[in-house]
Amino acid sequence: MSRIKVAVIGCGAISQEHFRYLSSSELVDLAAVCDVSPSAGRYAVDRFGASKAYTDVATMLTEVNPDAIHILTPPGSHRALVEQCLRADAHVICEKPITFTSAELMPLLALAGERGRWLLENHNYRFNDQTIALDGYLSSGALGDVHSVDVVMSVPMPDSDLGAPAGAVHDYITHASYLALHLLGDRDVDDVRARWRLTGPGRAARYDDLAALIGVGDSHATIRISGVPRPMAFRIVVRGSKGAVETDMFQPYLRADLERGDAQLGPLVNHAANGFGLLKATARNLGNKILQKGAYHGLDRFLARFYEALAAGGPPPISVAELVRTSRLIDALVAEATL
Amino acid sequence: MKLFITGAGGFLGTAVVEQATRRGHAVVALVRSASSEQSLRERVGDTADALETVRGDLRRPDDWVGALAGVDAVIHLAATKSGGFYPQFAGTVIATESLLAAMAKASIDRLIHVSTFSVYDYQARAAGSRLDESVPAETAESKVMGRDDYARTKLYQERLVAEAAIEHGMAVTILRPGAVWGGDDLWDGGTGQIVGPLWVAAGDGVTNKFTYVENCAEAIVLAAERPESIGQTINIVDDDPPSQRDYAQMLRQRGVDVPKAVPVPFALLKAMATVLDKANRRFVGGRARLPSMLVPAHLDARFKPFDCPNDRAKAVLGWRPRYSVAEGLDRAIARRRQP
Repeated sequence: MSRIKVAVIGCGAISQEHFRYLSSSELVDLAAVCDVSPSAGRYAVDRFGASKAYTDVATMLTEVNPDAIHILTPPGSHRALVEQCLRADAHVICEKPITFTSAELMPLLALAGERGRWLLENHNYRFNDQTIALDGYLSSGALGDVHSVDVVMSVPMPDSDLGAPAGAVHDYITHASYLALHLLGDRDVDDVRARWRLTGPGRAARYDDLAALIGVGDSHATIRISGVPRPMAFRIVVRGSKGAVETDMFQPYLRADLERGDAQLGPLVNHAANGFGLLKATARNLGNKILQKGAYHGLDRFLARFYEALAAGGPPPISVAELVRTSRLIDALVAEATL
Repeated sequence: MKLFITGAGGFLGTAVVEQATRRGHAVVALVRSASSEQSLRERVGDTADALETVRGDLRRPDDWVGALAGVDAVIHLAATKSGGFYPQFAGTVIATESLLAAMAKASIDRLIHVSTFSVYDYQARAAGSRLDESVPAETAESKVMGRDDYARTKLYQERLVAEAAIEHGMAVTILRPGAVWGGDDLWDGGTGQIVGPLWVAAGDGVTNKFTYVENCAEAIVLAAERPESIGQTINIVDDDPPSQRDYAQMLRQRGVDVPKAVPVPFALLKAMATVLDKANRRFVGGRARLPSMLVPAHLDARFKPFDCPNDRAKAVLGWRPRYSVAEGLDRAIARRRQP
């Protein structure tokens, strides 16, 4: 079977996360990279084994005719590039967000449908070990019916608004949104309330703090994103009718409070099990740090599923419905902004 | 001469601007921030009439390209020295790419490029051997990849400059200063590795490859003035480099806090680094990221003892280090005490 011919547009910092998979997978041929900087393209050729570097997208599309393209440029450039690549009949994986609004996203998804191509947004955290563990708790019924999902991101904020309606927060809002929706069972959102603020000194950031409450049927999610609290964290808590699980994407651990034994002893058993689990997580995180397995490790799994599905004819790792639901949730959150 | 100086708001850049204006040159200084602009004007003082400042980022030529009009030579100091590989690549390599393109467009063909001593291939040289300009810089891609982020990006930058010299017929001088010292943090400049409250002195008697900032600044301006320097690569190190132990003693005599020293023989560190490097390659495919002192290429670059003459700088530039280490220390400490 011939390899899938892949090109990468944009060779900045995020590209190294994509190249980790692309330069080692047996399924793909990293046929080209494209960046406005010749040096950045050349580095990708030298370091990651790309066959050729280009500085012009149209030339690259004509000469290489890739089967799939990763668009890793700043968000403001995505819409035009996605359209250009879809019209060249390539499947597209685009860094988040593909577009800032669902109104901009829908025509691109329609175009992808017309051309028989996939357009996917990078939802890498969906495929992290921790999310898969949460999925396991949910599917096993150990948590009962899901009552709430809390997503808390304490993160470094960009000092510009990225040209996005949610300002600096837009750099993170996609991740928080798709995780909240996924853990609530990928259902439609009923109502949204949000408080947007600018708390830091960088006026150019527009918004650097979000606290939101999202209603989904009998369940709800909270999303809090801020540049202020420390330590840095990307914490997720899922509470159900039988128990609760907590994890963190940056410093992975799992803390599960489940129905174990009777009401008197159960909490003690949970404490002991969680204490032991934290010790194991400490050792594992040290190993991951040395071996450079970081928070982006889910991307490898996401890309593997994407290319395996492409090669074997299965469904893509995330659906169009999930993309649309995520984008519409962000629309609703941004609609609550007042500045 | 009219000199365009990049990185003019930095530690070395400020000293170069001061030196250039004192020697009667008109200076166009490219700085990143308003605060750098202000402190540069204060530093230059009574020669400020010869100084024009431009605020901008080298990667955005629109900010500064107009200021190239009438410039006789460019002194290129701008580089990013922290934040990981990609930010350094952008701030050093892509910034240089942008500068070289603008120079070619403006028909400016004289460039004094300030590189670094870090670009040499230290592993290929025996300890104690002479390390001068005849020693090749690291060129093999596999070895370049093994160096730290700073050395790698400076190697790519120097390669770009060398290519531009050929492609555009530029008259280039490449200067390679050792560790430039004399700023706020006197306990810097390749003098050791701080681990918590301790100074791990690798080979306590190793002679430092370093140059006091005002000496280095004078050499850089001399390179711009001297046509003999065109086409030359010149190392900049001072005459009387003390051992790490002596330097620490001089600091203590002047009341500067120096961490408690833990001398570790260089050979012992090298043996440990070599064993760990082999284990890393054999068992985890080289993925493990170890502390810099335990990576053979990094260890050699920082602490392997060499004889580093400055004969060429003296012969070509007519340069003599104006200040001894003791005088440099006194001047740096006096400057720190200024309000």
